[in-house]
Amino acid sequence: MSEEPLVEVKAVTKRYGATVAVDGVSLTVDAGETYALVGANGAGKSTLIRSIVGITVPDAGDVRVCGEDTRRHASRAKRHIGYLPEELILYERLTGREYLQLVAGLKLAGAQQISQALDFFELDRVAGKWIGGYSLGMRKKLGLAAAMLGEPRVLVLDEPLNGLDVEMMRKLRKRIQAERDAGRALLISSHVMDFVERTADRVGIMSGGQLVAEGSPRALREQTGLHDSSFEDVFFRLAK
Amino acid sequence: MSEGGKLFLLASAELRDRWRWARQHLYALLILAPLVLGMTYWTLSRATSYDLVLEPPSTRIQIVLAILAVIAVIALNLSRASRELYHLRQPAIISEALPVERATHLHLALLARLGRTLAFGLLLVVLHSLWSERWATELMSLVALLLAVALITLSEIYAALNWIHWGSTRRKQDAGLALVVLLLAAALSGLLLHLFFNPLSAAKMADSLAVAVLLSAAQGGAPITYLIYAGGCLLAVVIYLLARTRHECWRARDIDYAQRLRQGSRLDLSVIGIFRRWMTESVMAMLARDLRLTLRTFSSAVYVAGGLCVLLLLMLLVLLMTNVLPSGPEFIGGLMAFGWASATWLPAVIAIKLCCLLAAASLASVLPVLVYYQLPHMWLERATGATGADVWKAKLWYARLVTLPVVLLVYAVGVLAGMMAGQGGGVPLTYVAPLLAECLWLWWLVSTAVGALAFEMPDRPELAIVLALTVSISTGALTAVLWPMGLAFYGMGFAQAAERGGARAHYYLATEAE
Repeated sequence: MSEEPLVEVKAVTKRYGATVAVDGVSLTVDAGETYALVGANGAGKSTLIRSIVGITVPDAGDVRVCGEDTRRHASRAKRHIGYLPEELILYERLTGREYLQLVAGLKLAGAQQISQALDFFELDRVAGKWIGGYSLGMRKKLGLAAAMLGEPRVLVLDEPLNGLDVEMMRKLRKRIQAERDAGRALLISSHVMDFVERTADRVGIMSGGQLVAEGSPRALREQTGLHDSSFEDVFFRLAK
Repeated sequence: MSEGGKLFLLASAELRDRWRWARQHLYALLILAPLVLGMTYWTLSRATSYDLVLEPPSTRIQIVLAILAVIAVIALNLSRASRELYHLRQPAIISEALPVERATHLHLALLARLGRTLAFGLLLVVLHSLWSERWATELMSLVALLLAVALITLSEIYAALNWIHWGSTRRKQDAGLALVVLLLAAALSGLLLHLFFNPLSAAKMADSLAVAVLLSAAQGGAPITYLIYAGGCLLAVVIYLLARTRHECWRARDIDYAQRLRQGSRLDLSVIGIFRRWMTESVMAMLARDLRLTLRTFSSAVYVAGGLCVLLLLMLLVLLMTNVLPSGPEFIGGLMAFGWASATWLPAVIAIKLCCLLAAASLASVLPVLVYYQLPHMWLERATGATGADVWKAKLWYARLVTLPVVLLVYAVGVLAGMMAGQGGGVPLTYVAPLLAECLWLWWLVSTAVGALAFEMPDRPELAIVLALTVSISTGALTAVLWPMGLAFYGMGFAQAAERGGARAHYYLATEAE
């Protein structure tokens, strides 16, 4: 692991009118680390993630990605990020391949990576078809393929498992481990606790816009004393 | 890759997506639209050649109308321009998380806007050729049009930028500056459009403009024309620079506000409870949902329809408060023999009725878009066991309720404007109440026609709009001239339309044919 974290969030606060969506959250993700962000709906996970990838500007606090301030040098910081949004809005009348060509062009990724991504996510058979005809799972796989193009140093995946079949979930978990081993930083938001426990090196639990607990899955188990229960029980205990 | 290259990639993806959409709608674009437009033009040209003898408005009114049209275009496109600028619910939103500079987002939005405004410009070229019976070939005339297109495009983006920023910050200084710049741009664009249609009217313009006092010293019209061109160029550059710097500063913060614009607000629709006796709870629930969606502008079609109503209202005001309409009794001549009832054919009364008809039809045409928007969510109706008749009835009442306020507004404005004009061209006092009855009758007929056809082509909203407008406007226009005809249409058509409407809605519920 390198000394400087690839993702550094310092006291980030984001308000929407009277609602505080994210309240003074700080966290870091190191190179070669998988950090899972969990929390109930409306806990502030997606807002925090959007602040990290530079889509939303926090009202207070700083976000640095690979040492670049996402507020001052947004474009430079984004060069290092591969992002899968929770809600994918795609060009319905572009083919899967054309969509990946667009993203690859914007991320300066080679054409070879497109073929590899299509192959890995088993999209080669439908790559020439319009995205409008894709199932939810295919769309998610296309989004994942687009996020991983350009070999970004930081991968931010918001609910990556929605719509994936069991086989693809397993494949994705292995891919995430491979990316981590290659020295990338991964920030994942998910509601699937089994996936979180098996994949993440560290877990951050959000509730009411705050980071209420943080640590490795084992450390969180020890903190609650729930050694034989499911990780879901650990989450509920800490989120309360 | 340079930012220019990224802009090219994003723009070509958008273009390819739209081109493929157009290929899917070849029938509507190449056959149906020219057919409907051609028939409309033919009917109008026949009417204006043989029946209506209207004096062309003065240069001053032409300029004012051109400026108002530009303001309306900018206002109508506020929502769409902000969607393009901030990629709201657009696939290009992905570029927000990619290394793309802010200026590229602005240029992408400008390109998208330019494409649409050029289409508007092309329409003006066609109108010009029809009007003057020759194609616009003078270089300066085309330059005027291109300059107007550029100014309108830039103004639309600048207006959208400031609209979102005003909502986000309520900063009066920025809004004030934007208002001044946009009014100036609208005035210059209006003048340029006027020059496009009347390339030789610069001297006349000089007489009509307040600034002409200063400019007329320049002897003749040409220097004024060049001043307008130069002013247009200068203002275009100023607006571009303003938009660019403002966008650079504001985008990061305003994008949040723009994205939240589509989220909910508090709306009290308990007023629809008064219709309880005419509909079941299920119909009322669907109706309340449809009205909420409309008030929360589920589609930019709502803005367009609302904007059209505003334009119609402005046109009515111009008609009633100027001497464009022929004066009453002389115009209808022998028809005055019908006594007080002959007021139904007075030009001002006909104008109010037609405006009511067109405004109601414009607003009701949101219905096909709403039905199309709801098709993917019809599982809710299926799961709750709603019948086809209930679903259809909800849409029918939706068309009626959405259009009622605008009809009453047009009526009130028309009657008041006619009274204020006081040129004998208004509504006679004895006919104020009967006119209300006529307007309400038109409203009922038009909204019922559009509502009844709600499920004819739910998956083709553009065709459904053409069908609904054709049926409603044609029956409404005949009824506006002779109101008892509406009774015949209603008596003959409604029972069958109700039966067919319920069956069509049932078909879509039963077959999941979305």
